[in-house]
Amino acid sequence: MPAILLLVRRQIRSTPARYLFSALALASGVMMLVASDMLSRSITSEIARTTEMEAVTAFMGEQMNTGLTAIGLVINVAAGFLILNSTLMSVHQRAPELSRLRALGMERRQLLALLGLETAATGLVGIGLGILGGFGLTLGLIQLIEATSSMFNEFGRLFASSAAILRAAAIGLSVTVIATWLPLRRALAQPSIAEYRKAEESITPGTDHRKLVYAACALFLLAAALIFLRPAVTLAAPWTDRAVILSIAFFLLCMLYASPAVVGLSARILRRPFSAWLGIGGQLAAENLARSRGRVTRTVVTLAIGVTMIVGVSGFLVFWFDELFFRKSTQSLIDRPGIGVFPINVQGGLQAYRELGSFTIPHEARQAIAASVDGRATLVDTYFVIIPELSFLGQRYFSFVLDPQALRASGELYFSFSSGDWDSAMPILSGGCGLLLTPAVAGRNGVGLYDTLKLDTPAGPLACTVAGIGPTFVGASIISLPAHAALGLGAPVSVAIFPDDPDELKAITEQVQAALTPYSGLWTVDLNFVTETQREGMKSARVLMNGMLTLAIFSASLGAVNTLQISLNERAREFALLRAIGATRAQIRSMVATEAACYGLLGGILGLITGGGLVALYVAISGGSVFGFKDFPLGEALWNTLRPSLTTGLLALALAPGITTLASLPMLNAYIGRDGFNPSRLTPE
Amino acid sequence: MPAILETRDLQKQFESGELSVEALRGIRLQVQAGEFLAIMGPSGSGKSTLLHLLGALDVASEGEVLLHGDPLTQLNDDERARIRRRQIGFIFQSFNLLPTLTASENVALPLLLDGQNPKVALERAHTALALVDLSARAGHRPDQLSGGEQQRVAIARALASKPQIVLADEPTGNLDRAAGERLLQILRRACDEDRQTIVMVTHDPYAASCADRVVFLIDGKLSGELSGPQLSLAAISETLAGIEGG
Repeated sequence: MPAILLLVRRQIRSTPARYLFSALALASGVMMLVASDMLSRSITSEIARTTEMEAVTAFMGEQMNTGLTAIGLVINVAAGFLILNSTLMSVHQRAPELSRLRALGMERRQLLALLGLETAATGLVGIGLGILGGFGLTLGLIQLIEATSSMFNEFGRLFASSAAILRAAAIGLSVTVIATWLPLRRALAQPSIAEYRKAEESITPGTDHRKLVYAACALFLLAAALIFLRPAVTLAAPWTDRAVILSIAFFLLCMLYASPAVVGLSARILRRPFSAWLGIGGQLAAENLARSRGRVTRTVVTLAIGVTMIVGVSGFLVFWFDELFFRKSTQSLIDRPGIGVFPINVQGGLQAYRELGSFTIPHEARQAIAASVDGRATLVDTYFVIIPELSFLGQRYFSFVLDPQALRASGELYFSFSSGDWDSAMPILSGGCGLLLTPAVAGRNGVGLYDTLKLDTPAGPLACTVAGIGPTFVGASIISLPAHAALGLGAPVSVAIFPDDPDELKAITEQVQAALTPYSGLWTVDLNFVTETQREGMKSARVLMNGMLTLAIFSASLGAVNTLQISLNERAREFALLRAIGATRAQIRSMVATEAACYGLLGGILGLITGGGLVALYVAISGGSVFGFKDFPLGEALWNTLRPSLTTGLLALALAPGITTLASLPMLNAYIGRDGFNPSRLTPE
Repeated sequence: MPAILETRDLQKQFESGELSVEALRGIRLQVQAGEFLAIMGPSGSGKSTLLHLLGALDVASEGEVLLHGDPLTQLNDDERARIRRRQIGFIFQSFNLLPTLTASENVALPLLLDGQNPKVALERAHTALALVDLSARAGHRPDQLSGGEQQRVAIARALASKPQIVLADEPTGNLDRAAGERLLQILRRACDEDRQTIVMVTHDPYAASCADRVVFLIDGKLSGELSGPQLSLAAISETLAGIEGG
């Protein structure tokens, strides 16, 4: 064991950059997992001080946690690729050394211990840095949110649960172990002959173009299936979700299968223009991409993961917030404008919740509103409740509790039917617990129109009947008011007012405001303004997500930099030769910088295509089915979603080559600089 | 006749932490234009170091290396690089061909680095390959060539730019007898017909016997030479045995 520890220490000391990059990549993923838990807790812990407040805000923390955790997991996957790549390269490079150790009598288990300890050191350092860094990242995220959002402006105490930390550590450790499994197997397979000679890499003629053809055919078939089968129209939840998952998995497999061919083909295509543009240096750069195709492909894929995430997450958020969430409300409020009375300053963001004592409309105020309106408008008392079975997103998305008569009279803001109608629904909604659900919620619970669904309430199990299925306001499920007592609700959280004559909106607004003057802590706002504020909040979420995704690019770029570092080390003799036959340092720099930029560019382009494909698949398959929109403009939604998400991806595409190129040049100096050009590298070992 | 290459009190030290190794001590050597010089000595005597300094691959700690009377030590790195690709050709023991390039591309490499037209460079490469009887293998990559063929490609690369000086470091070290003889014939012909100056480091007495002059290096110092009628295989072997025997 002392010998193994000595070898481990010396190895890490001899190539510290490789281990550091791997640890940093892992740390960035673990950091994100810790930060997601801390951030979501801090948003809701201080704010949700009453049941009503919790009902309205709980989903925000949950969704933020879900989104950031997903990003953290993908960053961990990217880190895993990095560790896999660099460990494989290291094993390949150290093949003579490992063979000599075996020839000197090292057993396989000792070799496993040697390589395993090196990996464990990387993993532990990465996990440790990640956990500590999670606190710093959370603070950074809060700064970013506060700078970009008027809605998310209040954060509670920062703390991470031990469960979240343990989970992050476990994920980091799993990624490390899985990523090093293949390289360790290869290392154990080294022959134990003393004069093992590292085989020169041979450039096999490419047969990869067939892989590209097969993948292209498969993707063509997938596209054809989507066009002819029209799943957005023909499928309903939960089959939509399954179709999305299967299609995405198939698409990603095709892209992964084709990626070595893409790298090889790119190298071949780039050879001539690079040669014309940069001379022999450009040609060598293109050919260096073709050799060690496995290593180059893994590096490119690592980078592509980051860009795919950026495009995918951007597209997902754009689609949900711009095409789904507010599609209904915008038109409904044009047809039937309204105002709302709230016990909170809607403009004040989350900070407004801090000052609140009560989060309900007092009974006297409710009566004053009714008196001032005097029958010229429909009043909708709005109650919020969290029922996990009816949660549209996650487990803690709120549901509305509304009076059916007022709901029907208020227009289509809250609900419109894609299955059922008002005449059939009213007896159900008025006679007991009736439900109006989106197709997604109905599908998840396996219920259809007029089916019964049992809910867990404070008063015990409550049997409710599905009275209608269709798009609801912000996707929230609607429970009819007769269930109020069973749900243990108090006063309404808000009152929506819809004038019968839209021209009377201004006058009624003034009268309501006048009537509420004696009651402090109540705000009257146009409902358009409320939805606009919500849109702004969603935009902030997108900014936050994109900010996080740059961490993914950073982690992925570390992979490319790590590969370059090891590659430069491997090619020290080649650089010495080039210098010996008269290449200047500038010529070699140009060659290596071109290669580095190619890594970034190929990864970025692959990521852009993959991300765009994922977004297109998701939109094309799910369409408006989650909400139940009739006549959903699929083509328009697809274009509106792809355009901004690909634009965001282009920014990432610009970043990646820059990072890899800038990182490569200082590393190269060690091999071609004045002191670094060592002629002895020209003679064999 | 002025020497094409000259060293004056040449010294080279290698520092490694607190350790300092004197690889060359006060070397005074002159190489005439068109001469075939062999440098011999035991392992660690500084042969390769001397060759690297002659070829502007490395910089002396003290003393001078003069090429056509001009000191190399006063040149900057880029100037030395230009000299290496225009005036000096290198042949290494381990061939040192680039694995991603074909034979003709490897040969053309110094010309391409010098900014020559690729078409012209490749034509000259083909001419050089013809000199070493490898025209038929011009499109093959190093992993598709035998050791002897790879070394002939390396020679063609060294000769393609028609340098005035060819430096060869153990060129026959990795070759069998027949291939080694063939290589030496090519070098001899380059010297005799093209008046190129050849400086060859070698362990092999037979290879050294093909030269015009043999100098011996021991512990970084020149300690004898053989030339003219004295230069025979037997004399070389005897001198070498005497040196290595202590």
